[in-house]
Amino acid sequence: MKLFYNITPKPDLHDPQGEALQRILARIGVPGVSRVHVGKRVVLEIEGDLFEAERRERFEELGKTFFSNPLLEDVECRVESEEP
Amino acid sequence: MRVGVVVFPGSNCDLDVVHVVQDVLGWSTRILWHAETSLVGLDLVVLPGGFSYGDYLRPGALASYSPIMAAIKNFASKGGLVLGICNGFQILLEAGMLEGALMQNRQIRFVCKPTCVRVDSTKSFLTASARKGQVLSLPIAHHSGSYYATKEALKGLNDSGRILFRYVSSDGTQDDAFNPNGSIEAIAGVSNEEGNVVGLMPHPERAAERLLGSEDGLVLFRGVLSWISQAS
Repeated sequence: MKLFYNITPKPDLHDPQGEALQRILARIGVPGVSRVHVGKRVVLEIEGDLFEAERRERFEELGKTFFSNPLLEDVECRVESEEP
Repeated sequence: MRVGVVVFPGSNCDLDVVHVVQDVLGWSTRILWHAETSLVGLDLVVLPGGFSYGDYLRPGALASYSPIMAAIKNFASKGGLVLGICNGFQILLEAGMLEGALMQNRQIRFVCKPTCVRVDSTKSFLTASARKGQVLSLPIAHHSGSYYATKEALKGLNDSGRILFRYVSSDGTQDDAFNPNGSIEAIAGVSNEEGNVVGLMPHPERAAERLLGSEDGLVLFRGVLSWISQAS
């Protein structure tokens, strides 16, 4: 089973990478992009399943305490089957 | 004075600190591998600059889980002195031993240059020998040094004198033109409530000999002596 953490900078914080990308997009003629955020994605391959609530909670907690810095970043934790 | 200098995988300013502490100040030093867990007999533990774990995940994040960190938290809770310089500051923030976080520099560039920092509080071991308002010339060398804290945290830091250093001009004026990385309120270093845990982005160990252009870092290291003599 795969577990995904999607980590993005908090929208109200300065995101220098996103701003640089936005400027380049304008330069190469991509109109209508009002904001760019650069984040990261962490993929865990997990043995067994996450149907036990406690195990799932533990992984969700790790998203906030280890994989992201809650002061600077938002994090979403999804299992493979929930991916859009 | 007995000083421990922690080496994480990827630390690269450890021997600079050892040189200053041992050869310039004449104190005894012990190099501590990050997997060690004993700090017996030490007065000060320094977490040096560098790129621990290659800055994977976030600067300082992985090192904050090194075995030695539990010992350092325990050491600090008993009044032991802990200094984090640059990557060491990032580690102390990630470990929750200091408040706030460090983001990428606003210009997304590695910045390596001399800066002027003003001592805004003397309520810590590192600033105990400095004068409030004193301007020091200290170099910076980092990519993620833009300090951030929430409004509420900043109020607490300001009210309790935990903001130790701000980037300023050579005459001590605070202005965005002298803020090298976009730090909020131009903050360059902070301490905990008790003043025994300190983190800063500038490198006092690179400003401890006239040959290198500044000796201003020595007033900070000598603060350790003032602090310990005040405490005893």
